[in-house]
Amino acid sequence: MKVTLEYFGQLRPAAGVNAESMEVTDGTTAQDALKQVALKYGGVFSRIVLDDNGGIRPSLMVIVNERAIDKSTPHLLANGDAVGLLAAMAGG
Amino acid sequence: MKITVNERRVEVDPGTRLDDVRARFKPDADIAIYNGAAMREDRSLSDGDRVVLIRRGERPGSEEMEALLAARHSPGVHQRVKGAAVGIAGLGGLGSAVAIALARTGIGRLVLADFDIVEPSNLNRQQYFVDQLGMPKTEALQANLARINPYVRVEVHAVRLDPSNVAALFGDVDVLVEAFDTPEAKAMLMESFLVRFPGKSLVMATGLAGYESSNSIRTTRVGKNLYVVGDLVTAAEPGRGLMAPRVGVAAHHQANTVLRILMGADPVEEGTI
Repeated sequence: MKVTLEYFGQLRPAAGVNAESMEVTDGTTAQDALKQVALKYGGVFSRIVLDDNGGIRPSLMVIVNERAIDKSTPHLLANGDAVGLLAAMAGG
Repeated sequence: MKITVNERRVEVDPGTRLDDVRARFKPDADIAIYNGAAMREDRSLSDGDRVVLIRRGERPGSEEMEALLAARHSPGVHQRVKGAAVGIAGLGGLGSAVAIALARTGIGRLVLADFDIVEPSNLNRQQYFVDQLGMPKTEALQANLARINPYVRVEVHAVRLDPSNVAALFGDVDVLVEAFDTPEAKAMLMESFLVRFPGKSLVMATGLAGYESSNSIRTTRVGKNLYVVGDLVTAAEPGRGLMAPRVGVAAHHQANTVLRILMGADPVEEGTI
């Protein structure tokens, strides 16, 4: 099945695109998809998305079909889903 | 025709002009505000117009004060926002400035939460004073807001926000403002609030450090009911600090986004109200 990934902020230059579609297998979760795309780009992109242990960084905001999701709970993706990603920056 | 003068509905003759109203209701007024705009010249009036007459330096009674505080608002704003409740999570550079802007706008109820106290390093951008050092930010900001607009109900919580208490503290607000410092806390609030209350709006901020261009601060919709203010990129880090001008630009973007949501306007559509 196919899902769309949309990047905001630092992830755009790190990926070199604003959005892209990605082929994933049935049963893929949003968390799986993030790890796959982090592996694909590596480098800066991977450091923004994943922590040193390979887990998803707590500062990453994940939005599926315009709705915020809780990263600590596996979120099963469906064909056509759109996953938005934004890394929060320090400062306030 | 009927017009409103200092929040009182009055009947005046058709053709009545602004100077006629001043002469009849407050001859010593030296400031006349017509539908939110200060007027130096006389002008014609129409049915439904709002006129506020003020004598410079005069301290009005409490029943008139609230109306005068909103005299420069665009028509309709005061009535709309007075019934609204807005939460602010974090009372630092963003949150303290957002709270003051919304109190001046006359939001009916503000729910404020922060666990911290006022420290000297806060004063370069946060809306506190030297004589408030050491005070809980909740207490200090509540006192400052009361001096600005005592007609806003301010509810404070001196607690550290986490996933276990966000819903209980902010479950009844119309809009929540994220005003934290750390990226982890920002993401935590988004998950704790919007997953539980997907129909409510959250106005976040990220990417506002340093003295990069003010024009790079913008409001982006990244999801349904989720708005993020900032350039989305510039983090506070060694070599790039947090200062009043750019943090203030972002805070006021957030406050205006809240106002647009409450007024039913699209927060990210440019050139429209």
